[in-house]
Amino acid sequence: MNPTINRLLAILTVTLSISSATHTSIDDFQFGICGKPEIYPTIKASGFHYVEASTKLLTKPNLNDQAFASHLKSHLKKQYQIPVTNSFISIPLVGPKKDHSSGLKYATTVFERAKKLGVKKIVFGSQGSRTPPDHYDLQTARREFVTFLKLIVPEAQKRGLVICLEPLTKDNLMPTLASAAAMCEEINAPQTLGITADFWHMMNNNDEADNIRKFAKHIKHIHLAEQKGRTPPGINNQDLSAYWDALVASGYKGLISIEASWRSPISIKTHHARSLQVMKKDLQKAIQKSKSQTGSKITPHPEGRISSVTYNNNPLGTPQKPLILRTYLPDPGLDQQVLANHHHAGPSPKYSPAVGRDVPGTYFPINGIPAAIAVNHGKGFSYAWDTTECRLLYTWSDGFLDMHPYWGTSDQGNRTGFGYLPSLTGTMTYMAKGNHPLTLNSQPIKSPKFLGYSITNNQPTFRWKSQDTTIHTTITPSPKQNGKFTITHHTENSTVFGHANLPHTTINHPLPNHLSITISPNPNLKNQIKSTTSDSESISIKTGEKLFLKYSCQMCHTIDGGKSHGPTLQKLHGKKRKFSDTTITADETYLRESLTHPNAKIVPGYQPNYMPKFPLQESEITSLVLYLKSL
Amino acid sequence: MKFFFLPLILTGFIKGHLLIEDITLPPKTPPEIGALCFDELGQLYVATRRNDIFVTTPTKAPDNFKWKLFASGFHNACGIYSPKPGQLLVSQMAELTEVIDSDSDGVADTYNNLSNQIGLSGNYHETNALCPDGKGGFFIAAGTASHNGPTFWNTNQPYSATGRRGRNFSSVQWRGWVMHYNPTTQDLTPFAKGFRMHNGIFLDSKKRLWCGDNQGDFRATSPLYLVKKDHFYGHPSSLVWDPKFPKDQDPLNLPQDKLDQMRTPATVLIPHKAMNRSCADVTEIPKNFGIYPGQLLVADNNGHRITRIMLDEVNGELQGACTHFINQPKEKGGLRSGNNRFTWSPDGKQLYIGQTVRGWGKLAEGLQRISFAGKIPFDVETLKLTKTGFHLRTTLPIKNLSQATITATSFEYRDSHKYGGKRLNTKKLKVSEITQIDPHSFTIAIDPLDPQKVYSITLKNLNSSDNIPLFNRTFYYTANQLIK
Repeated sequence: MNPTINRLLAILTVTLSISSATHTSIDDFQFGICGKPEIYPTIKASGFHYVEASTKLLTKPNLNDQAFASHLKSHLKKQYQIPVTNSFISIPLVGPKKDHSSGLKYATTVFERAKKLGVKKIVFGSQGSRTPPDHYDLQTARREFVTFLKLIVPEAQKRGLVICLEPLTKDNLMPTLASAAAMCEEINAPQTLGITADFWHMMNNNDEADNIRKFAKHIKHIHLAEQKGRTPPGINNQDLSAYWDALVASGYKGLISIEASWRSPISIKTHHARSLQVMKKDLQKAIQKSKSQTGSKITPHPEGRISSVTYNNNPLGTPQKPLILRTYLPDPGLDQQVLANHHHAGPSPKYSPAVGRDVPGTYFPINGIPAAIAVNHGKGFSYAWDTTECRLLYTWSDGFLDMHPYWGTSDQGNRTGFGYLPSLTGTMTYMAKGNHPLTLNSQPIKSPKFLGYSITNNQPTFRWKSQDTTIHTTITPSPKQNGKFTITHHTENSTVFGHANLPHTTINHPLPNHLSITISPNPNLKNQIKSTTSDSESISIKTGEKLFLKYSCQMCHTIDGGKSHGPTLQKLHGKKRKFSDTTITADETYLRESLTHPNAKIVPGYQPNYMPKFPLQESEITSLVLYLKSL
Repeated sequence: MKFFFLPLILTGFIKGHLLIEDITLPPKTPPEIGALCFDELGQLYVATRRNDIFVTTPTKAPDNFKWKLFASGFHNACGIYSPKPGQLLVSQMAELTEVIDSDSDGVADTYNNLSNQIGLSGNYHETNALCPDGKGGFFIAAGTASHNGPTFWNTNQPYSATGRRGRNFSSVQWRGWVMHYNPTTQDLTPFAKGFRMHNGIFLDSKKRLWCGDNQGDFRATSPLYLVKKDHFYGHPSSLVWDPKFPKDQDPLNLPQDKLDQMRTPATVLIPHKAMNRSCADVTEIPKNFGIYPGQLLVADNNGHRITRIMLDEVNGELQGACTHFINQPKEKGGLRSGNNRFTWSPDGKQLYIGQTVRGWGKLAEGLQRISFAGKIPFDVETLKLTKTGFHLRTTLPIKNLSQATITATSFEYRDSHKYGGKRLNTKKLKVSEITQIDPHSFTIAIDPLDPQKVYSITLKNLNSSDNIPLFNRTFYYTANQLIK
C-alpha cells in the first residue's frame, strides 16, 4: 500500500475519532473533488487533499486477478490520494429483476480491490440499481434493499471499509437523511454503514440542513454543489451557510467532496482553486459562529449578567445550577392514569370564520403537556415535573429539549408549524405509569394542588398539597450513573407515606413522613424518544409511508392482508370493525385514535397494551392517516 | 443636552417634542419583551418571552444599564407587577405566580402558585396580562386561543367542545374573560367577558379599568374598552364559561344583532391601519411627563405607533377620540414595531416601552424609552362632542383659524364572525359655523350629526401663533351617543 495514502488515512482515522467536544477547526476537514484520478496533481497544487473517483473505474471488478494486479501496481505508482469512491453498482437490487447473488459477488470483488487500492469509503448512491419499476410496492423494495445491505455489510466490515448510503434527488427509496438513518438503525453496523449527506440532493429534496445535525451519528461523508446548475461552490455564490452551520454543529470531521457539474465555461482546471477558497471561508465562518454559540452552551446560567436562555434552541443547565424551563412539553406516550387530573379535549369540527359555520374537516388535538416544568442538570439528566398532577412525569438523559419548533430561529422567532411542541433530545430513562405512586396515611393522592417551588442551593423543591398535607418533593440525579435519580418526599406533619412498588426502584423510608425512592434507568425506554421528522415535511401519503417505515409499523401490521402481531391494515379505511361490545366503521376518527390512543379499542384476538404510543406530531399523524387510507 | 453625545442609533427625536432612546439589553438575551414594571426603589423588571425576568436600575445613558437575572422559569410571562421590592406578581401561561426574593440577595428563591384556575389548552395564543386593582388584588386579562394552533389532548382545567369552535376560541375555562384575584380569600373570580385578545389591562388614576382588543373576528377594528363588572364585550366564545349562559346553546350561533344588544360598545374605536393595527398595552400619561397629562395611550403591537386617546363624557358615559401620539419608524428616530407593554419611571417622566413580535410580521423587538424633549407640539389636545358638532382645544394658541380647511366624514364599523371589517356608510359631512372661542379652542358644527358613528375630522392649514404646523391632521371621534 502506498505510504502516502497510509499516512493520510491515519490522519483521517485519528481526526474522525476525536470527540466533538473539542472545537472544530478547519484542519479537521479534508477537501476533494469527484472526478477522474488524473486530476489529482492539478487540484493538489491548490490545496485539495484527494480525488473521489468512480468505484467501477478504479476497482475494475471485471478484470481478472492478473490484469487487476498490474492495474493496481501502475495506480499505486502514481501516488494519487483516493480515500473514497462513488458510482458503486448497477446490478438491479430491488424489484422483480433483482439479483442479490450477482450483487454480492460483485460487491465482494469491489471491496477486496478497493481495500488494496487504499480506498476507505464507498458511496452507495447507485439509483439505477435500487429504483423499483413503476407501481412496484415501495415497502417490498425497501425490504429487498435492506436484505441486500445485510448481505454486503459484513463483507465491507471484514475489509475495514465504510459504506455511505446517499439519498438522491428523485429517490423514492431513500429520499432523506432520515430515511437513510432509519436503514442504518435497522442494520445497526455503526462502524461500517453510514450516510453521505449531499447538500445538493438535500436542497432538491427539501431535506432540511439541520438534519445533518439531527442524524450526525450516521453521517460519514459529505458531497456538495450549489443548487442551480449543480455548479461547484463559489460559482453562483449560493449561500450554503445553513449546511455548513449544521455540519459544524454535527461535530462531523473528515472528507468533504465537491460533486458538481463542471460544464463549460466552468472547468476543474480553471475553477477548482476558487471553490476551495470559498468552501474554506464558509466553513471557517460556520466554525466561528459555532464557537460563539457553544461559548454560551458551556457556561449556561452563570450568576447574574446573562439570561438563563439565549437564542440557542438547545438550552442546558448544569448539575450545580439546573435550568428550570417552563414551556409546553411533549407527551411521550404517558398513560391516561398518569394524567388523571387533566381534562380531555377532543376532535373539533373545522370552523370557517369566512362563512361563519363549520366546514368539512376536523381539528385534532396534539399530544402535549400544558403546565409542566422541565428541569435540566446538564446533558446527563433532565426531568419533567407536572404542576397539574403534582408528580414526576418522565426523565431523560443525553440531551434536553430542542426548542426550535416553539421558539423558532433567532432571526424570525416564529413557531415552525401547527404542532409547535419542543422535541425531546436524548434517551428516555423513566416514564411514570399508572396512578400517583404515593399514598398519605394509606389514602391515594386526590386532586393534588400545586403550591409552588423554592430554590435552595440552586435546586428546586416542589411544594404541593393533597388531603390538607403539604408535601415537599425534590428530584436529585445520581452523580455516578447517568439517568439514575432519587426522588424525595417529606412533610412537616406526621403523615405516613406509602409508595407503590415499581420496577427499577429502591425505596428508603427512614421516617414515616420521609420517603426517598431511587430509580434506575429503564432500558426498555431506550427507543421512546425518536427523532421526529421535521414538521415542515409536506403532509402527503408519501410522507405517511415514510413514517410508517420509520417507526417500523410493518413489524406488526401487514398491508397485504397477512397475519402479524397486530391486525392487517389492508383496506382498513371504511371497514366495519367488531369489538366485544360494539361495531364501528374504521373512519378517519378511528384511524387517528388508533395512532394517538392505540389502546383505546382492541380488535378481538389481539393483545391489549401491545402497541406503544409513538411521539408523532400533528402533521405526521395526518400523513399517516392519509397513508392508511390509501392501503 | 447631554443626549446629543450618544451614538445616533440609540436616540431619536419626534420633531423636538419627544426623545426616543434605545435601551441596551443584557447580552445574548433574545429581546422579546413580554412585560415590564418598576418597583418602589426604582428598579425596572423586564420579563422576556423565553424564561427570564431581569432587573436593573436605569441610568441616564440608555446603553449602560447593569442588568441582573432576577428570576427564571416563566412560560411567556405577559404580565408583571411589583407590590413591594423583592416581590413580583407574574401572569404566565399556566398560572399567576408570586415570586419572592426571601433572603434579599437580589435573586428570587420562592415561586408560589397563586392560581392556575385560568385554563390552558396548549394553544400558543393563551397569554395572560395583569394589573393591580388598587386594593391589593389584581385583574387578569385571559386571552383566547387561535385557530392557527392546536389544543392538546390533555388540558389544564375544564374543556368545552363548544368553546373550541371558531377562529379565536375559548376551549378552556375563563379564556376571553377578565378575572379578579383576591389575595385575602385567594379566590379567582370572573369579572367581565366577551374579549378576543385583550393584550394589556390597565387601571387608571380614577380607578377605571381599561383593555384594548385586537381587530379580528367580532372586532371590525381594534377597540378600547372601559371594563365594567359583569359586562359583555361582544366576542361570543367566552360565554361558554358563563354559568348564566344556557348550557345547550352555542354562542357562535347567536345572531349578530343579538350580540350587539348584549354587548357594551367600545369607548373608542381605533380605526384599523389608519391609527393602530393591534392594540396592546394601555397607560395614562402622568402629570410630570410634560404634555397631555391624564390622557390614555394605546400601544400598537403591529406598527411603529402609539395611539393617544382623548376621552369625553357624554350623558354620564365615556366615549371619545383618538389620534397619533407617535407615528414614526425607528429608522426615522421613532419606534420599532411590535409595541407591547408600557411602564413609567417612578418620577413619571419616562415611558418605557417593551416590544416583541410573536411569530408574525417582521422581527421588531427590544426596549425603548420615551421622554418629553421640551418643545410642546401644536396639536389638538381635546376633542369633545357638542349639541351641534365638536369642540376642539389645541395645545398652543391658534394663528389662522379662518384660513384652515376643515373637513369631516362619518362612517360605521359592524362586527361579525368575519375577520375585521371595513368602514361602512362613509358620508362626507357639512362643516360650518367654525367659531373661535378663545386662543386655544374653537367649535364646529357638523351636519348630519348621528349617534353610533365614527367621525373623522381633518384639519389643514392650521398653524400655531408662532407658526408651528399642526402635528396631527386627522382625529377620529367615536360617538356612541349624542348629547341628550
